[in-house]
Amino acid sequence: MRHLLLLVPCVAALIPWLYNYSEPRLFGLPFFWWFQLGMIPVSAFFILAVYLGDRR
Amino acid sequence: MEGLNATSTAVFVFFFVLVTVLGFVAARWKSGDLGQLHEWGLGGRRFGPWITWFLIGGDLYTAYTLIAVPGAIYARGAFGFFAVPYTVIIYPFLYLVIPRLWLVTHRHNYLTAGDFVGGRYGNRWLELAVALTGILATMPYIALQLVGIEKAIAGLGFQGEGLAGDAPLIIAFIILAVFTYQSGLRAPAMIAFVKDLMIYVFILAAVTIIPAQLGGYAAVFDAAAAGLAKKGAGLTLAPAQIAPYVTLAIGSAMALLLYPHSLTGILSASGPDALKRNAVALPAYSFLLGLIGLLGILAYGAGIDTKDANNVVPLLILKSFPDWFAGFCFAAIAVGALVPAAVMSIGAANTFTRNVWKPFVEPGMSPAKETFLAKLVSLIVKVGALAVILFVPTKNAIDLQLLGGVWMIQVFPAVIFGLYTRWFNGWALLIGWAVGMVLATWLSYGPTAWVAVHPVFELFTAYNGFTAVAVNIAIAGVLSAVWRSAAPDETMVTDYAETPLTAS
Repeated sequence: MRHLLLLVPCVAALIPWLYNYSEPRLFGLPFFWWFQLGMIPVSAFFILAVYLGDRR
Repeated sequence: MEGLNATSTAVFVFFFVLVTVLGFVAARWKSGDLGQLHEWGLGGRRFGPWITWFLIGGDLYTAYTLIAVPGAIYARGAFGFFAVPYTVIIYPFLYLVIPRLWLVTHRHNYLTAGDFVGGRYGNRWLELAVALTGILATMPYIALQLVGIEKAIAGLGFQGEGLAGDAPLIIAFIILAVFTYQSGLRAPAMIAFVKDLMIYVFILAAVTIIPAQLGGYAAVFDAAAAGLAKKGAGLTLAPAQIAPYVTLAIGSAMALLLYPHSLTGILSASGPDALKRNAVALPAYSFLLGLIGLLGILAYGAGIDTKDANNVVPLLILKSFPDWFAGFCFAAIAVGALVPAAVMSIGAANTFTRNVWKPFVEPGMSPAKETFLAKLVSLIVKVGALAVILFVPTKNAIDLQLLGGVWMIQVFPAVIFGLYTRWFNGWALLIGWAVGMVLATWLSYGPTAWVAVHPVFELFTAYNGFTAVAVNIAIAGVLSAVWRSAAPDETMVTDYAETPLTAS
C-alpha cells in the first residue's frame, strides 16, 4: 500500500489544470514554471519516504 | 563570430584532453576480464550507488538535451517544458519496476531487453523485434550527440571549408571510438564524473549570473512573454496543448528506460538497492534539466534572435560569458556528448551481438568472440552516426530521433508487462508491436514535416507514441486472450523478487 504514495507526485505532475496559471509568481517565475520545478524535489521526497519505509 | 577564439579554445582543449586520458585509464578501473561481454559492456555489474548516479545521470541527460530543451522552450514556450513532468514520473516508475528487471537479468546473465524477452517468451522473433527497435532508435540519437559537439566547436569560432571544417568533430569522434573500444562501459562511467560536474557548474552559473545581468527573472519572463506572443506561444499552455503536453510526458517516460543505453546504465548497477537509492537521488538531474530549460527563457531577456532553435544555447553563452568561461561551457557540452554517445554505442553493440547475430547467425559463439563482435559493432555504429552528421542534413537526424521515440515505446508491453506476467502470448505481442510501429510512423508523417502529435478521433490531440502503444496493447491483449502460448519460459516467479535479508 505504501507504494501508492509514489502515485501522488506522478498524478500531480500530469494534471496541468493544477498549475497552468501565471500567478502567483515566485522570484519572478510564473506559477506554471516554479510549481513544476518544485514538483521535482517533492517527488524525490515521496520516493525517499517509500524507500525508508521499505527498508524497515 | 570571427575566427577562432584562443582563450575559449585553450580551455576547451584542456578539458577534452583530460577526459581522453580518463577514458583510457578507465580500462584498469575496478578491473575485470575485458574479454567477457558483461565486463566490457556492463562494467561487470559492479557499479555502486554513487557511480551509478553519475553514470545514469550522465547517460540520460545528454548533450542534445542541453541544446534541444532550451531550444524547444525558446520556440514554443510553456509547451517545451513537458520535459519536467516527464522526468518527474520516471523515477517512481524506476523505483517500482526496474529492480525486477535487474534481478531477472542478473540471474540469467541477460545483458539486454532482447535477452530478457527472448528468455521470457521463448520467441526469438519477438527478441529480434525488440532488439532492432532499440538499435533503430539509438542510431539517430548518437548522431544528435554529434550535433552537440558540432555546436560547441562552432561556438569556439572554428571555421573551415569542406572536410577541414569537420576535422575537429572527426578528431573528437575518433577519440570517443577508440576509448570505448578499449575500455568499454568503464570509460563513460569515469568520464561521467567530470561531465556531470562541468554541466552543474555551467548551468548553475547560467541561471544565476545571466538573470542578474538582465534585471532579474521577472524582467526576463516579461521579455519572453512578449517574444513568444509573436510566435503564437506563451508562458502557460493553451487549452488545446494540454492533452499533447500530458501524453508527451507519459509517452516519453514510457520510452526512456527502454532505450538500450538506459538499460546499459541501469543493468551495470551493483543491485536493486543501488537502483532504489538512485531513484531518490536522480531527480537532482531532473531539477538541473528544469533549470536548463530556463535558458530558453533567458535567451529572450538577452535579446537573442535566431530561427534555428538549436543555436539558442551557444548564442546565449557567447553573449553572456567571458571567453574563458564560454570555453568551459562548450567543453561541458562536448564532453556531455561523449558519455551518452559511448553508452549508446555500447548498448546498441550489446543488443546487436546478443539478439541479432548470436540467435540468427552464430548460436555457439564463445564469450570472447561475443565481446570481440560487440567492440567491432560499437565502432561501426559510431562511424555510421558520424556519416549521418557529415552527409545528411541535421534536420533529418532530428526527425529520425523523434521517430525513434515513438518506435521505442512499442516494446513497452513486451518488456515491462513481461516483468509481471507471462499471460501475454509472444506472437500476440509481436503483432501488437508491428501494428504499433506502422501506426506510430503513419501518425507522425506530415506532408511538410514529421510531427510528434496527431488528433485522435477529432476529440483531442495526443503524442503519437502514446496513441500507437495504446493500440499495440489492445491488440496484444485481445489476441493473447484467445490464443494461448505453449512456448517455454526460462524464468521463474522467484527470479524477479529480492531474497528477503531476514530469510533463514
